Amino acid sequence: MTPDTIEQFIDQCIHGGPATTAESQAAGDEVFNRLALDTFAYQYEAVPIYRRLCDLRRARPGSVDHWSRVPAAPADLFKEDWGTTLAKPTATFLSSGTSQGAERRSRHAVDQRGFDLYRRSSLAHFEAVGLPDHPGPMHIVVLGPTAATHPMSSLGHMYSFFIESLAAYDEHGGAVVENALGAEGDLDLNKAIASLEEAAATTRPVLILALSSTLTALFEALRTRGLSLRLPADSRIVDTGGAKGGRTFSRAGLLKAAWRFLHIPAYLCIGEYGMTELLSQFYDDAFYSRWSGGLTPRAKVGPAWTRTMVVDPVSLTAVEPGERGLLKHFDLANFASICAVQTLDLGVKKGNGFEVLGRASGAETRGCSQLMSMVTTDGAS
Amino acid sequence: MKSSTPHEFPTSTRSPRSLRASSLDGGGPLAVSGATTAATLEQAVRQAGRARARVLETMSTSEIVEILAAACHAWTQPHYSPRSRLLPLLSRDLRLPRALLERGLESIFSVVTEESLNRLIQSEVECPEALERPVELEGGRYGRLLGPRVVFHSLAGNVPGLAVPPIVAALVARSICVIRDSQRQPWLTAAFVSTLAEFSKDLAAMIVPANWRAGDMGMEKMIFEMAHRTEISGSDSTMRSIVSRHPRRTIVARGSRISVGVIPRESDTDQWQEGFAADIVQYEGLGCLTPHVIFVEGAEKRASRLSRLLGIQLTRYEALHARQPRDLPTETRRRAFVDACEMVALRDGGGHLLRGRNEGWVVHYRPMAPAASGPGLRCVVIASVRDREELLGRLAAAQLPLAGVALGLDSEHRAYDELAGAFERLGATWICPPGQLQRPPIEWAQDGHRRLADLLEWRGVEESA
Repeated sequence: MTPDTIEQFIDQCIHGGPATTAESQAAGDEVFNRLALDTFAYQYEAVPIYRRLCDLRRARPGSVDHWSRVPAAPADLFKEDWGTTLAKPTATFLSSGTSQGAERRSRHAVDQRGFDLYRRSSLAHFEAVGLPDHPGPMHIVVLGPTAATHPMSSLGHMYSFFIESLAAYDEHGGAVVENALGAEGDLDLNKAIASLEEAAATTRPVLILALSSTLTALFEALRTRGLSLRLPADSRIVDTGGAKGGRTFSRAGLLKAAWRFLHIPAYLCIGEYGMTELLSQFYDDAFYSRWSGGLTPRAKVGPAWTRTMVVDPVSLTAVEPGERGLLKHFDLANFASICAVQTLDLGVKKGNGFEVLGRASGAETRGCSQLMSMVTTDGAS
Repeated sequence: MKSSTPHEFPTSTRSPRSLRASSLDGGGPLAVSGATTAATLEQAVRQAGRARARVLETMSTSEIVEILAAACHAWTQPHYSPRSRLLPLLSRDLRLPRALLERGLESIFSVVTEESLNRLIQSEVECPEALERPVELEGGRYGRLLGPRVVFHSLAGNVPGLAVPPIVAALVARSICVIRDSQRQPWLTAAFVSTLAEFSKDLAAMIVPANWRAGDMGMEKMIFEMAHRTEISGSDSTMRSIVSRHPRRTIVARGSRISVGVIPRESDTDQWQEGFAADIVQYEGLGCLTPHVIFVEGAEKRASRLSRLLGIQLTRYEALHARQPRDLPTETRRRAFVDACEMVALRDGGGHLLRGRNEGWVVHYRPMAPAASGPGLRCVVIASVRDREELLGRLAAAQLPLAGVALGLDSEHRAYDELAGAFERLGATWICPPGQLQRPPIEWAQDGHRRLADLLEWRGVEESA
């Protein structure tokens, strides 16, 4: 395996190939499986700590014949010191800290090639699943991190890719973007609401990039002020989903509030599930499914270069369809680190993807929950 | 509490009086408590009150002791019909291998004997005769030592038989005892009360097994108004939430505790693995008396060796009594623990990780491990400590209050008392050899609360009536 092969495969998927895991599997699993096994062999040699893990589990490249049996690294492995596995790391993404403290952060280093692929792949999958209707340039309101405010956050970089690629420009050539979340976690709701009010007076659709907690804060502020905005048609929300900490509405509460306060229908509220350890993301397919003429239940779907299994926590093998278990991902975009990642997120197979049921009790809360706490503590809300 | 002769638990030699008549032959259906309503609870407590009045009037302490011992003795008999019929249900609901459950029942009930109950009374009651009749007090007044009219116990479902010590203490103190079992295992208390009824209907009536769903605020409010003393056990979060709802009530809360094993430098490493393995597998390590970390004093190779010897023992258990998988949250906690052990084992100096077939057991030799609780479920950490100072330092820094210590040292050894004393000062309430950790005596002062003495108060003659 060479990184070229993986990159080519991902680019093929981006440019006219299957958009989602389900579509890719429907077209046949052989290519993915071959690439996955090759990548396993490559990573076994290239990442010493992963090799030690595989040896501990008595699994070697020759002994595995399917991607689902490739030893998955616990997500916590990304908190360990791997030493240098990349010749020239361009960026190191850090998780936002965990309930065990900032020093226990996951780290995911990427070189220039990996970073460029991260940009292409994250944007492509969001466009495929979140923007299948091609709504054109959008008015963007950011209630989450960006590369400027949180340079170590992979989510921040992804939101910045979206801004660079999707934002509309005003008559002076400036991007129509409002960043309401500062580097210290300070949320300027006045700024956000003013920007939304301004957008409501136009026909340009709005894209709100948020965390669940900042979205909750926004809705609470709108309720307090007695405001209900009618945003232009095709406006939509992307939020990082889940209630992993901080104060958040339930999922149903968020959907209801989005309609009540912003006039955004539930199918245009697109939950995102991602983590520092994976360079690919998963999105709610409610809108994608509706747009494609399907009526499958809302589920998180990944891009064609990923696979997700729901596994039994005891045997780490796939559970029966409909049974709950732990989510295990195989992400080819992780070719420079470790592709097979075992999470402690509870989930269930559903529709064309899976549903995240929450974080296992006893596991550390992670990811944006720490950022949310900061917002709760310091934020203007 | 230290056990100096832990291998010799006395058993009752008396035959239960009426046991031969019915229960051993098969008896009727198992008494099972259905969901308790406010009306049924009120009625049961009213009946219990009438029974209590008769007990206060007519029963001596020795009679109560004899009946309790006989009822418990019945439950130690493998051929006792209620026990043999309950075992499959308990095994299914608690997901415990049947043989280990049998061993558990034996431990739970065999410690209640006439001798042990008399020992309990002698050690905790300042004036035993005042339990059964008024005695003259200072100033010419007369008083009687009694427990509160109603005590309430809400029990966790992790370990069977938690109701036995509260029942024993309550009946000796002549208190009505309402016991809310975990919904996971509503069987054993009711079945034991049925056995009691074979000997004394009045004593049995004073025990009210109850069962209502968690979060039933109506029932909770009612029982808290009814009970004069409340003891709850369960997860820390559940208890915090209950205590916060009743700020003016005195509630004895028994939360998460940690128990450990210790092999001091004076002791040979190779003679304790069997006992430790028995403690680890009993109740699948879900009680507060399961050893989560075993500290081995001396050279690191001693601890490393113990980890391998323990692995062999746990393999034997796995072959004979395989662990049964539990619910998703529980297994996920175990997975998180195993993952974390794996991460540590990958580091330099992180020790080694031993696992049974299909991870049926996990032993992590981790020299620098702190005294921290794991998930149980046959997962244990073996730590190495250089000397006594380091051992006591790590125990002092334990993440949770210390409950029990399985001490791998001959009780006759001159260092035993000094070590046991040090553990007691650190909060340990049960110190015993490996293999006995999960069978504390009836006198065990869990969390420092004396079972009987804490219930009793002097009451005037009119009040006691």
